[in-house]
Amino acid sequence: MQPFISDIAPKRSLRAAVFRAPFRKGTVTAIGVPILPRGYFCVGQQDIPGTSVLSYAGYSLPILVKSKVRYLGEPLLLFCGPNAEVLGRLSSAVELSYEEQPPVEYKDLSGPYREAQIINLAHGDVDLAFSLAEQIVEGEYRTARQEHYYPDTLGAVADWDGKSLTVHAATQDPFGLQLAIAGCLNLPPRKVRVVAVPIGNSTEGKLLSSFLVAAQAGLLAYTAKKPVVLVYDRDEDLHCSPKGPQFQIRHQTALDQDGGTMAVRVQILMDGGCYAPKNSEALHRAVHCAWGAYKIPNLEVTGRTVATDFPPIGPFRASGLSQAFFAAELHSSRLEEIAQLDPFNWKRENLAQAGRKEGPASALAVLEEVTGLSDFIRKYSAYAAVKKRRKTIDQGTYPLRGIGLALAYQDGRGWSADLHNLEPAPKSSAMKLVLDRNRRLRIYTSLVDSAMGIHGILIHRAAELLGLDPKKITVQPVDTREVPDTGPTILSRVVAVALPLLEQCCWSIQRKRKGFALPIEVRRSLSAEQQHGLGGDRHAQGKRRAGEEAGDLSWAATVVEVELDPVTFQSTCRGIWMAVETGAVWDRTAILGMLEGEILRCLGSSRLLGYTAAAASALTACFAGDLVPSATELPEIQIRLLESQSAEMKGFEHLPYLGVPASYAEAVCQATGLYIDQVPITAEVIQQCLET
Amino acid sequence: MPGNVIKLRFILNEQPVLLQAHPGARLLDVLRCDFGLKATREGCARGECGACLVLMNGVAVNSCLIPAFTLSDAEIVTIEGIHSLKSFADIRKKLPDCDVYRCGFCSSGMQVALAALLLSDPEPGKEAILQALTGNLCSCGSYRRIVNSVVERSSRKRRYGRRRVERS
Repeated sequence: MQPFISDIAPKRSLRAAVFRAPFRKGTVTAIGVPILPRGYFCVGQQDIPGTSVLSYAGYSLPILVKSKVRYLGEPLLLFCGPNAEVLGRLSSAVELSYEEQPPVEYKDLSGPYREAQIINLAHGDVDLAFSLAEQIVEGEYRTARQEHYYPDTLGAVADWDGKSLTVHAATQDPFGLQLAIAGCLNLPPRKVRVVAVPIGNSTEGKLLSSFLVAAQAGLLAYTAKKPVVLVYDRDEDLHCSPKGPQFQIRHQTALDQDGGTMAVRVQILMDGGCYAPKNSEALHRAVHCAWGAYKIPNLEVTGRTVATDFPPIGPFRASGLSQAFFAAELHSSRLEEIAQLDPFNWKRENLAQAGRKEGPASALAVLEEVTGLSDFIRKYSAYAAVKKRRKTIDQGTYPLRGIGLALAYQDGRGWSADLHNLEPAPKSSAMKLVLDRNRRLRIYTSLVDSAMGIHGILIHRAAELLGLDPKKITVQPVDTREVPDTGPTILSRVVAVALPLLEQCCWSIQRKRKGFALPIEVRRSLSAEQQHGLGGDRHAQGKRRAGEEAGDLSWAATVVEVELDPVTFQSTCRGIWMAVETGAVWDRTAILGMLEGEILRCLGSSRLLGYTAAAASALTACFAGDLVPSATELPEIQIRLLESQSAEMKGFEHLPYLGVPASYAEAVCQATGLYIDQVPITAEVIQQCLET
Repeated sequence: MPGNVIKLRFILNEQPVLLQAHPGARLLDVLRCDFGLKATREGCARGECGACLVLMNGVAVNSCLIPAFTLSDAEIVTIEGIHSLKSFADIRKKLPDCDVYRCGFCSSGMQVALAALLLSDPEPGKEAILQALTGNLCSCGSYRRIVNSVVERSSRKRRYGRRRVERS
């Protein structure tokens, strides 16, 4: 087992601490730094030789600020020295003068906040359809901020040897980090070496956040000329790292006399936090998936990112998608009620493409599979009958049970490629393979191993293509001096970019094996344009998602069954069933393990995720036990991977995030008879809904 | 070390040790910083995730919650001890392999919790294992794989033992 970042402590290394703003918004007028003992160092924003703001995939975050503070705990000064206790005393001795300003907080995101980004998408004549509509159904859905809760906290170890800087960091993008640190220290990138360490289960939390902590450690090492270890403690990490954004999504649907959908109007508001991105992939994804998986003849979507006084946001797994699908699926459950159809039949009817009777075969297949697997229709009818008989929640002795069904898709060729495409200058991606004299294969890539089993996928595929024993294949340690840049470690990007690269390398080795002596070394790269072609144009994807061609999408249908305690409203998940179509299945055990883990994580965040708008100022609501279900809370989980004709694997890591929250919310709505329009759904939320 | 220090004498992985520690130090800090036993990891730092579990007098405890001053005469066994001491040889065989855990951060805490269970119940059932892991959180959700692995290894041992008895 490789060491995690907190396990690395070079000899004679200095410890580091961050002095943070003790207020939420305001201006620092003066900072009095105490006299430093010998061997101790302090760095402020004015000491940064290069750029002081980190940028990644449209997001930005200052490494240190000098005067204007925008969130509680924003870093102001960095200290390092041999003793952590002395560092603590130095931090408490800093004299800070500041003028605090009250943060602006409106009741919801539609308040008069500054708009940072607007995206519009439309087809058909929405105004005409609404004017002719028999009935208009409206709903507003909210999702809270999301905490990554990676098991190890953020940290980095940096060492400046007088000529170059070596940084050990738990990062998903070692070459991105190299550029960021080089920019911060005003050094050529070749003088910065990044060695990646395991990232745990990070849900894309080791992208922007890892840059921040590594840049801070790098600055200190550059100043002190000694190795520096900077590891955030859990509170610091929870309170001061970027989160997944909160969303507020309003749906309006125009229905005809038969309950058929004539038009949909969707307004999306994303909380961009105090450093609101001007071009965020989360908003793009939300806008292009706002109507879910269904046939919409006339459509109008408006997406806005608003700048608020909440802590900064950053990349998060399925960010934008999970919120868009949550709103679309929950809204469709209202439409099912009006149409007096059960969710399965409503979804099947509305999946049909324009001009055709049948929906995408994969979508129908996963729907049919999951409803059969979970006995959905029988359970849904039984719980619906109980709900009808019980006029109030405390009437009768029936258990409060409900079941929900959600349908979702993920672009199998990598939405996460969007992250890379949002960079000012998209980079090429490369991979190197070496087959040595002992017929052992070494894979050189910057992809970091993670809970997603990325290295396992590469090994499995290479073994299959070259007919080698997987035990004879190794992925080399990720060091920017040794491996080529394959881009950030995100599963769907691995599928879209890294696997084609690996296949090209393997085919080349196969050809060379016939005429060349071992060892054989092969290196292949894809230019930014080629990657773009693989990942697909975002706007073309948007059109495709409107329902015409869907061959390269992976599909999942999810069923969640819950039971609520009638007194405390604490929920127990009775079962989760999921049917997934994700192309070629190369490693069934690994995919099932990964999906089960992500499902459990989504269940935790659907029930109890901590950061609501109201709690953002207190910043204390987040505890580990709330986010990750324990062993005794394990529900029955059944996952069925459908056989596919496709020879290629598709991305699938987002699918649990797209299906579980919506189906969980639908199940709670059926159990309680309430219209709950938000996640997380806590006992308090149910109580509040009952009171109103 | 600046400030007051206290002298502690306790047994660590079956070896008597003497240590000078800050009174506010936690057992976790003592193990990781003073003895370099890095496999005991700091997760939530508030006793909820179980990544820092160690055996204290045969009972699994969160070392992030144990103040150093309570260590006098205590017997501590860390994951390194479980993996190396002869007295844990039988238990070691029943613990899951590393590849059962996905990211591996929680693995040492999980193994200590399982070792504590196996000390009292050498052939635990699924329910007992799940109960024993209540205080351990795995953010990758590997619980089922861990439970299945322990049940399989315990039953394999049992079957193998029976076969040997029958042959003799």
